Amino acid sequence: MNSQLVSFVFTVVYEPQGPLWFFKLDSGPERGLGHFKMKWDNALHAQIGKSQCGNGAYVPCDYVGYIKHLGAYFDDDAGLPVTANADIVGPVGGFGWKLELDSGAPKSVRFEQIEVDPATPLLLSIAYPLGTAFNIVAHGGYCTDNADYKCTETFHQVGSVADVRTSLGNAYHVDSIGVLTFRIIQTPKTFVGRPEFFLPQYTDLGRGGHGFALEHFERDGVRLPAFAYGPYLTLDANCPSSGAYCSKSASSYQPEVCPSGYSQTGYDTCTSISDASMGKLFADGTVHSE
Amino acid sequence: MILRKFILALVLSLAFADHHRGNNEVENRSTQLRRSPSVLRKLVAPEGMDSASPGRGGIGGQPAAPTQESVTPPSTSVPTMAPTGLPTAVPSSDPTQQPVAPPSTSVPTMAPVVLPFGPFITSATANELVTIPDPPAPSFFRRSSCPHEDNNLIDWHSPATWSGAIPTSGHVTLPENARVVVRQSISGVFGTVTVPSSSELLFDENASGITFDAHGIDVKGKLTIGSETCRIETPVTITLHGDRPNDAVTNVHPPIYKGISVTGEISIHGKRFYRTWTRLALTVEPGDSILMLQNEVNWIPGQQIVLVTTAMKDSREWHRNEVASVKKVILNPVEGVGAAVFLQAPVVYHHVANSDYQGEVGLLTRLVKIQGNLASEPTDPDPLNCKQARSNFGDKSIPCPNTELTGFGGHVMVHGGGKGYVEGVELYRMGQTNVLGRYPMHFHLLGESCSDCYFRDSSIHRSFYRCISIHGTHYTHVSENVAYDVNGYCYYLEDGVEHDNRIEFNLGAHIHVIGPEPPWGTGLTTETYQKSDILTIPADVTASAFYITNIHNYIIGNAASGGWAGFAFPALLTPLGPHRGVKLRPSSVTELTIDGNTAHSTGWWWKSAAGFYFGGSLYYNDDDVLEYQAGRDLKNRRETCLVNKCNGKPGSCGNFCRPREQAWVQVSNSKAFLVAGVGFGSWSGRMDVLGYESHDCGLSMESQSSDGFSARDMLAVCRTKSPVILPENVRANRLRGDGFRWYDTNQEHIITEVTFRNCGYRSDEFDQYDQGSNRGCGDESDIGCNSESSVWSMLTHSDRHVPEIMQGTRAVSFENCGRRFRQRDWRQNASPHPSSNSGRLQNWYDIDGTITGFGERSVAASGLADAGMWWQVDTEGKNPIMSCFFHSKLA
Repeated sequence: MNSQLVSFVFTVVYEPQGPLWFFKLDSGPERGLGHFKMKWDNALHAQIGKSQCGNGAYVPCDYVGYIKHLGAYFDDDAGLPVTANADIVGPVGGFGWKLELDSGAPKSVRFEQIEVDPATPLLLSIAYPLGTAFNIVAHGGYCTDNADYKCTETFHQVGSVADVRTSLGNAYHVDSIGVLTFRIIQTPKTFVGRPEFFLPQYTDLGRGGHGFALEHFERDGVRLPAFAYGPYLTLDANCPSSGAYCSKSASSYQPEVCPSGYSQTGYDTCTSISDASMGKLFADGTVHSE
Repeated sequence: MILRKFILALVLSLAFADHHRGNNEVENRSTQLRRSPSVLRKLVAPEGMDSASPGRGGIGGQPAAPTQESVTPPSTSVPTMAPTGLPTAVPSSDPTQQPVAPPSTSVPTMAPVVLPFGPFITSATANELVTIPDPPAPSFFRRSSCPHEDNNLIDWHSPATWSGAIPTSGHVTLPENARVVVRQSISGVFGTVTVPSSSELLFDENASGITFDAHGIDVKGKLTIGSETCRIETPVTITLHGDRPNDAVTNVHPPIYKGISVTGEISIHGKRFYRTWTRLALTVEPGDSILMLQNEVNWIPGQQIVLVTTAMKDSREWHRNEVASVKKVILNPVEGVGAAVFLQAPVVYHHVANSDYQGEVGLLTRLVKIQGNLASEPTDPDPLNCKQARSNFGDKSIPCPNTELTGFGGHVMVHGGGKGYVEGVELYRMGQTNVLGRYPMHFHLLGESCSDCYFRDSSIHRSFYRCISIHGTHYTHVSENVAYDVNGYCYYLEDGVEHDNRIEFNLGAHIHVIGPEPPWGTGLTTETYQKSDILTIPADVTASAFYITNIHNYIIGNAASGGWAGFAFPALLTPLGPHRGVKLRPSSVTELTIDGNTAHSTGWWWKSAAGFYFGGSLYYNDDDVLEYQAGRDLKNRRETCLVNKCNGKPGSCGNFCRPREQAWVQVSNSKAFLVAGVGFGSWSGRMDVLGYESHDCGLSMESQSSDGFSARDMLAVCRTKSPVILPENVRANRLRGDGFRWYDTNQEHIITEVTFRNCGYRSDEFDQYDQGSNRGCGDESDIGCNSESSVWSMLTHSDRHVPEIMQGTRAVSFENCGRRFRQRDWRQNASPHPSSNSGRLQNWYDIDGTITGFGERSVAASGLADAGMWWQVDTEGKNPIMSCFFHSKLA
């Protein structure tokens, strides 16, 4: 009943009953949802379900950091709390997510249960002490290399965040102050290359031609990604460390994602400050004129 | 004008029908329409004008002969005594096979035929969305091949048959190579009657009826009553005698003990009644004595019928089923109404027939009857006065735990390579509580050797243990049966290996759980129950009308009422009993057809108990004791697979069905109503629900399904606005009025083409979408719902179990709903963080914007303040002022 009226006026609305936020996906060229589960501190994660982050119990689930969208538009926002149970799901296809942990940059992170549509880039940035080197590897699950399939892929460094964004999902960038940015993709369950690394689409077949490379559930025009148990992504930083964290502080990191003359108006959008007719500039570099 | 035409047509047609019968009573007959129950009472014809009542024109105290009155308009062809499409036996030369004439009546009187006033629910309008299939109409046939008319029979009552005196008691063994026919009642009670493998025991038709009493019948040869083309038209009653041994459960006596043991062939064919059950076309109110039915029936005066409850609770200590007797039937009294059934006494309870749902009416009486003797009744009857500590919506009454455990009726068991062809039979006081294998009808370990066997158009009532068990038997046919008042699971696939059976068009009602207090729990599980002397099959603690341990069967067009659930689909990781070593995982098999089934008046005892319940697990525990968990069991859950992973050593099935091997269960055209718990609930995935209606259910649908669950074409009417019939202490606003619940983690749910109507609580706080004074459900005691009700709810209490990308919708519509959305986190005021991980991460794809109202691809995600701006993706038209974007507020 209300749908037509709402759709013309707003692209994001607050729904008080859930409460929920409603937002449009087609207002940006690459909007979608992404998900992963992070593990970087075994001692912390071991508390899940015990002294931290229970199942409805009145046990604490302390915030150990935040994750937020990149850009000035979100500077004043603390972001989404990150807890010991660091499942993250949120809007992707924007300028990227920025992870900040209270105890410092994580020395080693394992990302698993990844779900993201290949058409919607999930970029993650973490500020590290300057000079930190990285080893980022995508791993297939239950995988043995052979002539046809490859089980691991080590990310390579590229010169810009834009290059990371357009990569197949095997590239990272480190900026001048030590901020690491890399793309997280959903890899097939049992391989990452055939044999070369690739960005799998939902139509790609699984290993040996069985099933699909990307598990998903689709009915009646609706497709949901489905994570696979087995594949994972590891990030290792060679920073001096204290336990699970880099011991040296990283630089403050508040990147400006929009070019000069534009202000950020969304997690994936920049809008001309002076001339609205210039339209919107999106995170993927495309321009949409009014 | 239309009404006048109707009245005239009815009068003319009645006149025609009666004239055809040469009955002059019609001359003074008139018809009036009812406008209200009070008017009806004034207009109803005086007693004595109707055609038949017990003992008047009946046969041997049995139901009287048919008196259906066709009201087919005079322009049609010559009417018959049977309704259109019903089997009408063409008379044979035997005068006993002539159509039974209408019973002689007293001098006709001038009495009006009063019919209730519509509008009527027809079979075409009975369901809004789903298609509920009809049983196939029986074929007309020429009565022939009556076995009791064969020339080579010898008479039980002929001294020549026996080497001594004609037996009237004691153990009897029929002569070898003999076909012995019983042509009249035998007054004595036999011990065991043995039919040698070379012999046959037959029963004749006798207008006075035939009674036959025995402690057991051992059918090594053949037991014959009629044939498929010679359905028995006069009463035959076999009564089984025997007391319940003290060790009945622990030392199961041989099948011939108070039973008919068939290792040869049982072939019983009682008169064909069609339909055996149908649904009301019009609500029946207390004091009414006419039922308007959706379908034609050829029921006869004196027969007992059951009006199945349309209350939400159905339990031994409180229910609204009632048994009535037929006085007269008029066919097609109004267009769209199959029959008007006049009762011998007014009904006591309210039975609903509205556009949302209609109560069933089932025929209990058959002319051929097999029954337990009076001593079959339990010696530990439920005193019906027990209360539990907790309250179900304000009601603490429960069936008294561990009572009614001594019912010990007769049983029929086809086994040892036997054959069973049973139709048109009434099984009364049968089954032996907790005695394994002693059920009213039991196809026992017959494999595929009984693929042409059947049990159909029969009735089972007052059963002390189940209705029909298909045990280790495949390809049988169980159809059009009526079951009422049953201890334990009723239609029963026993060990989980049974496949390719057809369970179709059966009605099961008023099913009683066995043993302790019915299971419930505060979370996702219940207490577990172990096999014991008072609970032989622990699953019986959740007895329901249908027990489907193996979905590789045809489950079509059945109706369930009462019980802990309606259709129970428990997960069995291994087969049970003698099939335990079979290389099969019952919970992994694929379905054949599950279509067109309805369930109601169930799910009372637990919030997750459902009309259609894919839950519960039955397994051998670590101590090798059979154990049952009624709720979710992640260890023993349904994982349908195209590949049988159990082909290795017995009991080793592995646990992994690869994605390409996974199979989805399709359940189509299902309808649930008046379910306090959940209309359709599943603890397992790989399921596609295609076509589903829910009316007056606490929660229309829920699922926990990591492997994918979809529902397409769904209508959820959370409150029909018809008063919900409840126990006296219960108010409808204590019941939920919820649509669908998203679960917390590891799910894949897609819901499309769904309409929610009258769902969600009505309050000023949540009036953003609709401000209609009648929207959703409110605080009314009869049509209300509790204040936490919402169309969609999200389980967001957990910091540990959190959502991924796991839920999507398309083509969702809301009709007259109250609150649409609700995060369910009871810790909203907890410190220091008043929100949960799962609440902050809540998200769902709304592929066409029918949830968000955008009308395009969009996302609905957490609006909790603690999530910051995580889901507030842009400023374009962003409106954080809650009251400004909704239609009703803008207008």
